[in-house]
Amino acid sequence: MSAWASRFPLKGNKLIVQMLLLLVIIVLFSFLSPYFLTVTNFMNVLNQMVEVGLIAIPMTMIIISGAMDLSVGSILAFSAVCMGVAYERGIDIWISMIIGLLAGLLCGAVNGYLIARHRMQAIVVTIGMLVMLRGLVYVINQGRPISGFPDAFYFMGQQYIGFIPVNAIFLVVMFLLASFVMKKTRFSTYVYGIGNNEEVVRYSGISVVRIRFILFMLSGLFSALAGIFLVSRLASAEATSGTNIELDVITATLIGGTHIFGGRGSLSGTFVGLLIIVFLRNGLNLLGVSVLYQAVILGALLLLAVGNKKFNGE
Amino acid sequence: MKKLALTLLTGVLALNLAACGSTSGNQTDNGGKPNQGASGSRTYFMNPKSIGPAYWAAAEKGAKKAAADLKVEVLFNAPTEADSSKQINMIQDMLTRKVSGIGVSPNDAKAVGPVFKKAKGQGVNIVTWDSDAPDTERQYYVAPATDQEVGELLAKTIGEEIGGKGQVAFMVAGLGSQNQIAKSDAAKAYFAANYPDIEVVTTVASDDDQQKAYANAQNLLQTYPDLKGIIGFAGGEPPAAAEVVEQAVKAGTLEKNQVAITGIAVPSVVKNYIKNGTIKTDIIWDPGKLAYVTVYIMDQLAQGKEIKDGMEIPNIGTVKVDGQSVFIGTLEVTNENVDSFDF
Repeated sequence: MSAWASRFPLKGNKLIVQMLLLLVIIVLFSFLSPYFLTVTNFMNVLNQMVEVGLIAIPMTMIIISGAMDLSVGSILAFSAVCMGVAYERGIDIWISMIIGLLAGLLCGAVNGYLIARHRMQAIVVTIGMLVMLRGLVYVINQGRPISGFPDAFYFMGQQYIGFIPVNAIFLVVMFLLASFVMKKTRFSTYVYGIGNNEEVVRYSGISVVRIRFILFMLSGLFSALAGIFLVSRLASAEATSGTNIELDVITATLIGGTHIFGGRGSLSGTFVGLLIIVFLRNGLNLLGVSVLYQAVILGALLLLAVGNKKFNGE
Repeated sequence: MKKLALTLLTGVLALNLAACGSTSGNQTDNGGKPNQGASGSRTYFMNPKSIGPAYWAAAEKGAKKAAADLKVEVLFNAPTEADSSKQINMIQDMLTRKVSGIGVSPNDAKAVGPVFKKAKGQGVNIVTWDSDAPDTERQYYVAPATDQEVGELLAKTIGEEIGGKGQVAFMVAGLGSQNQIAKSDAAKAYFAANYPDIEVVTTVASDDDQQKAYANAQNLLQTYPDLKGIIGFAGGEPPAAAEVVEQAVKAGTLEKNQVAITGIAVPSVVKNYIKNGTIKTDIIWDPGKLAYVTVYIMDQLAQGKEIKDGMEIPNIGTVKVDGQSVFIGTLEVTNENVDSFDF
């Protein structure tokens, strides 16, 4: 009982630590670069973080449930290219978009079926999907980028409402919705429960298979959404899109305080983690720091975050 | 929910800060504008396809040299992998930094369209180099030579070496890559017009995979015993062909100089094959020079100067300007000059 009691205030502390870190980064870069603290730059950053952010939502849930999905980048590309090919065949852009979403959902269902139903290792299954889907993408579009979508479609990734990018608004709404689900519904209790002790949840008469299946379906769907927003932002669906995006997503989730073995974590933490990595990268870009050093700094930050968690949580 | 509210509150506060920052940013911007014309205050962003390969490292040297010569600042940066969306994020970040010009070697010619449009709206000049993005708002494209010229030059070289008769095979990096198609088509057309007795037996693609290029070359020698020449249209092909031919000569299955090789390759990679006489002539351009000229062109544009055909660039020489394209010319690497290249 006392363990529980002491855990909660610490959990709150962790979020404050992360927000302080974010604030330090923002203040630091504001002093270092005159271009950092501007509305255009902030909107720019928001615009760039949407794809990683969308995938981070189900990723946080999956990691909380004690699993992992490494296939998200390939699902993203697969959905984007499916949509592109459908549009090229003369199908209406909005229907093509739905085809893209269904493609992502299907990939997520395959992941979920193998992992939940057949109890295969999530990491192994999703690595398999990562490689296979990337290959399929090249088969479908033969490696050439697809472009020439109608202007109405670019609304999602390139337009602003007032001075806020449309896709950023969508991301924030999604985060609020998901956060509500993870705070107020029974579903979230099951997810945390599976992450803490899967057996107990099963013996309580709850279908672990169904929960896991839903989680991977969600991951597929959100990866597809990210793919569509990416195509809309870049005006081109290409075979290489989303490569290594899973690293960014998982980094954001972990910096946000989600425990890699599951059971603990929050979407608000992930959101802050996300802001930390995008602002860090943007600030370093503005300063003209070579990407090679950027990778070193990001890796060091991750180590710091994980180290910090051990200090706090265990 | 409380935590989330707190997060959002911080976000809003940050935005408020940003809003304050932007006004002061604008002021400094206005104050800084008159200085923009003076030398030393101009900054350019040079954006290759990726960071890592030796080719881009050589380009970076040239860009830095241009920065020193022209007394401007040049930032040379790109993602570690040739990824279009990361490249575009980087260009967007540099647009907020208000650089005077951006030199891009686009990973995806179509995807850079919107960001180039945005750059033009902000009055930032975009110059593509090494790889072009036609149908975008880019101002100029800096290249070694047209694909047609390079293709014809390669065909002419091999035609002379084998005496205008016999079987020739093409090795390309990718069958779908526009610059490879254009070069090999030009070479074929050149053969048809000038060496009707030369037969192009096949075109094999390595997909930029060195091991596959090597296997392709081995298969060529097996399948076509009468093969006279090989043209490698991308950096990895000529060394693969030369290595396989040298091994076959050593094993006694092929006579020396039975198969002539030419192609596009960095001198340092084919140095030994040229010294051994396996490759007589290799075509290349200097990536450093390419980057140097790109920075120079951006600097001219930023100062509102005109880009003219045959214009003289200090330390480089004259360049050919055709419409929106700037050509720096190719180099022929032979046994006589192979030691003089530093890339």
